[in-house]
Amino acid sequence: MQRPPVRALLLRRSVLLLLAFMLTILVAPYFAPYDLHSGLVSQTKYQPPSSTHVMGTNTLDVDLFSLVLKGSQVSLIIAASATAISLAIGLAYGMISAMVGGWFETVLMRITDISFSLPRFLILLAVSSIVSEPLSVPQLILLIGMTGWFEVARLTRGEVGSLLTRDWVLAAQATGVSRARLAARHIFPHLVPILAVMATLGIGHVIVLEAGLMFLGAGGPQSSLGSLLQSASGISGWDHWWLVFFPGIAIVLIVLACNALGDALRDVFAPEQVHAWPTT
Amino acid sequence: MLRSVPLISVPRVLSRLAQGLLVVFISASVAFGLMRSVKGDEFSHLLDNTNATAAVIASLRDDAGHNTPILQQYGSWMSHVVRGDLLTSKAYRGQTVVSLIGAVLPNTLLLMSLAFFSSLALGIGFGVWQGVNTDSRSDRIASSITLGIISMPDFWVAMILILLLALHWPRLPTGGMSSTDVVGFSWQTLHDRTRHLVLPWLSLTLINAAAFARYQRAAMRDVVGLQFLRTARAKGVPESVVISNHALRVAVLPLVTIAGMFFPALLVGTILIEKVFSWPGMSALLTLAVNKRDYPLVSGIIIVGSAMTALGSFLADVVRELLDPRLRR
Amino acid sequence: MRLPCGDPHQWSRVTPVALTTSFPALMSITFNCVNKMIAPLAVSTADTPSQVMTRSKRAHATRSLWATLLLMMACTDSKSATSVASGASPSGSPTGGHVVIAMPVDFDRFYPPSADNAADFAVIHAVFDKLADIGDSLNTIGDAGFVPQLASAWQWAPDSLSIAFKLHPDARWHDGQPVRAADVQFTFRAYTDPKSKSVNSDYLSNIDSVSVKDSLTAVVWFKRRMPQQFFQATYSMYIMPAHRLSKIPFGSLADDSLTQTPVGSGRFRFASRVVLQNVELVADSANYRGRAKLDRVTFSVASDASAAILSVFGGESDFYEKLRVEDLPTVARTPSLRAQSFSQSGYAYLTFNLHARNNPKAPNSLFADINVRHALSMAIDRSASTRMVLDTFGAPAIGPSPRALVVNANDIRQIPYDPAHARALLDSVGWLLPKGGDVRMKNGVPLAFQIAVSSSSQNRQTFANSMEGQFRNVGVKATVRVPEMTVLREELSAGNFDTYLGMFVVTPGLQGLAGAWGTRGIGGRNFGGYSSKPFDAKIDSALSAFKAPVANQLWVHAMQQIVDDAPAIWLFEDVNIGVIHRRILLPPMRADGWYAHLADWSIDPAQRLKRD
Repeated sequence: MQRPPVRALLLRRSVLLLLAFMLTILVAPYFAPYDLHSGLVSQTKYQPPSSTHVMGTNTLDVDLFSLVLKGSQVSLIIAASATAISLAIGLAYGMISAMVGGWFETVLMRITDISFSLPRFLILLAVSSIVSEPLSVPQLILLIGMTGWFEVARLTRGEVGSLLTRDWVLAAQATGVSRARLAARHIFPHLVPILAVMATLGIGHVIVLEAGLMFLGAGGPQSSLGSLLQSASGISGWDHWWLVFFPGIAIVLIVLACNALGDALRDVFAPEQVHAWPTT
Repeated sequence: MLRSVPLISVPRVLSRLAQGLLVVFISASVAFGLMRSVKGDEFSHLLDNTNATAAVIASLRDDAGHNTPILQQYGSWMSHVVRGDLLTSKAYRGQTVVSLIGAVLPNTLLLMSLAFFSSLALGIGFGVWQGVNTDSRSDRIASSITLGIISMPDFWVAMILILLLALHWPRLPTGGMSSTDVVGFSWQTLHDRTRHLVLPWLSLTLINAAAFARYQRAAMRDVVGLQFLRTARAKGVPESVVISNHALRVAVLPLVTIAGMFFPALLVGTILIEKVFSWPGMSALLTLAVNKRDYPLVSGIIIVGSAMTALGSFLADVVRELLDPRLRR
Repeated sequence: MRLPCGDPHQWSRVTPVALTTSFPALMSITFNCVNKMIAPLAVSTADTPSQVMTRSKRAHATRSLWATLLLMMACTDSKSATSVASGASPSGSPTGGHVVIAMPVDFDRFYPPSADNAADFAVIHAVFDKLADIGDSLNTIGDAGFVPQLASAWQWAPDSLSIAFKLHPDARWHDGQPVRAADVQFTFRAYTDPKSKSVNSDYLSNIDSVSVKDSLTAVVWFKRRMPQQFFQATYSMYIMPAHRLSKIPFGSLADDSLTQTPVGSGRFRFASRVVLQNVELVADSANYRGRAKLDRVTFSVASDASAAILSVFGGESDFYEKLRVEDLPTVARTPSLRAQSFSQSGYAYLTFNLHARNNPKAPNSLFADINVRHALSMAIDRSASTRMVLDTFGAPAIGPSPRALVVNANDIRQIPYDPAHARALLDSVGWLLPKGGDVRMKNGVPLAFQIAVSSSSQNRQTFANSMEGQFRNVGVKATVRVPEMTVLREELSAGNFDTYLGMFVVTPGLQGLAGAWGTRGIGGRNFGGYSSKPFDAKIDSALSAFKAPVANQLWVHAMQQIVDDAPAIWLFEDVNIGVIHRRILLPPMRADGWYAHLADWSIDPAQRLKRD
């Protein structure tokens, strides 16, 4: 789709801005104002936001702003890694099934259909609630990543299927290019835009998913934003509103950045099939 | 239009149904496997009970058949499930899983369906308005707002709403489904139920309506510029009629199909919201069942959850076929 | 009525303990409020060595002040209600009203022999009667203090091996049938029949049988003479209607749907239950002990403790039994609410696994050495950690019992906080710090272990975290682990842990101590496997003393033994503070359950709400 150059430039700038935001989140904890283990000594727990603690302090007298920075980093790492796993599996699965075709494709796609219909969240919740130890970050990444690729596989396969009917693909096949080469050299580059959109939207999606799981009391990393919200939910009453408010705002900002980035990318590449959507 | 094609292809529907059953079966087995493969069972909580002796616990476990091979347990459990008997709950003695789920499912469905229809209506309305005024200033502002809203975790919105409207300015209850002092059926009861519904409904609807609106806007924008509308306009049909009679009909189609896929997301949202508001629904039952290692109940809930999901996508499929004749082959 | 076991008047009640330790004023907990005084103030000022009071410290002091004021108010209120006697209902306080009690979990069922959680007991206690109920002093020796319920009188046999309970002739089941001696006999069988697998039959083990002398006289026969005989016959046995339940075999009674709709003889009758929502009780208006003062009690189920507290703050519920420190300001700001302290008879401990993991035969390479256990005990500043975690809601523990239950608690010598001594002690037994290292080693093994703590308690997790640093301070590497609750229980009972930070709730008369720390508790709740003949013997003699002052002294000996042996570090006991609507007038609260005198709660007529 042709766009006026000014608009494209603006888009590119906002994309860069959002990417910079994500990078900031990843390194921010190293510049946190307070040590996360500094608590447990004084009697200053539950301070409301002030000039010394911009987001206040929590039950253990730890600076909430520092915790939120750390939490944002952990949540973003979990979400990005899990999404990467989902994309990799989904891409491979979708491409292979579309390239092989025939009954093989039908069977593979039926499997994804079924897996997609499983109540993923319920199962994730049940798993993470009954494992003996709280899930570590890598375990959580694997768990979310391995259960999130069905939609990716479906979309990839659809996209590859339609690419395979294009003239230039047919031409390439006629010249005797091997299937693997065709996939890697000719098909894959055309999938990059849709993958980019899926990745950004997926990250935002997983952040909310992880927060939801932690909120329901699934055992997981103590430091993620979801865990912060979960422990805040145990604090009743209006008196400690900042414990609920700020971690949530952090989630909103990150997810908003992902969604905006995804939207911007979609406007550039226009794979209309992919949309931001609340937790699945 | 071609009338030779049947309205719905029977084999396709049957295969979708079979697939749905398979999904339910797999979910149930996964649930059973999960619950029986981890440490602990429904008697574990007795271990730190002041009075229960080790011998009593051991014999309770023996009676419950926990010492038989796992495959045998699975077999006997599955044979019950196939007969439609989900056994007795372990957490609620003397109550069957079916009766427990039957007691709370209506509460969950009430919340879900209200949120579903209201967010569909709001989403369509808002999206159409945006689609018509596409790329105007108000459209851009509205788009930013909907983007902001769908970026919020619904349970967080719910917590904020409680803080604001139930505690800081106490106008509405913090949770539950009804006040304990309002009984019987009367206007008062209805009023009380409504008050309890407002916040959970709002937290669910806000986000889903925004998501719908974004789809609807995109669909509407694609339609507005289409040829047949230009023709209608050229024929002098007023713009409002063009929108309501022609454009809307086309633009709502994609949304209806999306609404089916909407089910899993709504289910998850409802689970979270129920937890925040102590809503007596499936969420509370699941939490309790998992904590007490009540595997018949956990499996039962997962069976119901997956059945609902499967039903949702099945209905979406049927609707899509009805609306799009090209699929009926 | 004949009293066989010494003179019960000599010690009609366990007197509350005077507190002399620096901090724990609020621990005075119990039954009378006089002890609940100025100490929190003293605490906050004592904590402030410098003249300059920082902002935060001021905030803390203010909070403590709040706590004190609230408690004082709570005291006055409950005092004004002390004219309301427990047990047989006197007239005087107003009847009518509706109280909504917030519950953090749903109920299971209402079958006394198998009840295993406080929620179910709250309902069972209101709907069912015992033969007699324990007095507010929680005395367990003889029948001193016991209040008649179904039994209007009792007669001890000359040899003290049986007690004849005369049932109240007017006692009726809620379905109208009269209560008969056969019901008592049936109840005993339901509790003790091997097929019924009752979890509440432990106290009944000294009872041989129950016979029916005539339709209104049930005779309880004991195996041997013990000071707690009367307690055993009454405390855990809620009398159930034989005519309703006897048709069902004992094996399936516990799981029968009848247990969902209990019929008893208590001052409240069961009205209805909605799963995950509520349980309703209504006053049994023609009850032989007088109707309950409230018309209606609703137990309203919330999704967890915070939601339960929120529902009280939001005005939907009237009472929740356990507040947290951080909730106090909200209570203070809400005119309709007040805090109410309850005795909490629990204590937290860090138990050492004295045996190798997974091998109960072999000794533990770290903790089998008493010097190591002593050193680890000395490394922990229990006062400071308790204050950090519980603020004014707790005090360091004195041993395996809260102070309130050990009359001469101050006579017990504690292992002091002394990190320097701890280091020296570890050095002396060969656990040395390697050059440049920070974890002590012996024969190539590091002095490192895990602290397992349940995910259910935030306080205990925080306490465990605070211990990590204090252990590190003496060259010991402790790592906190928070396994899922059910998994943790299984690991504990399999001996698969290093140390466990747990909490025990104590039963009246310390009846459960032998099961928790004695040799007979091994394989049960004595997870660490502590086994000491002197300790077992001392418990036994304390439980066998028929005179209270003697028993009190013997308890101190037993406690001293276990404190010296240090099979665990005795961490803290916490004060239970609930939140309640001001219009509710409370009778004195009993230490073993806030619900004990629910039938005597009443509403101040001047402050009635719409729902009353």
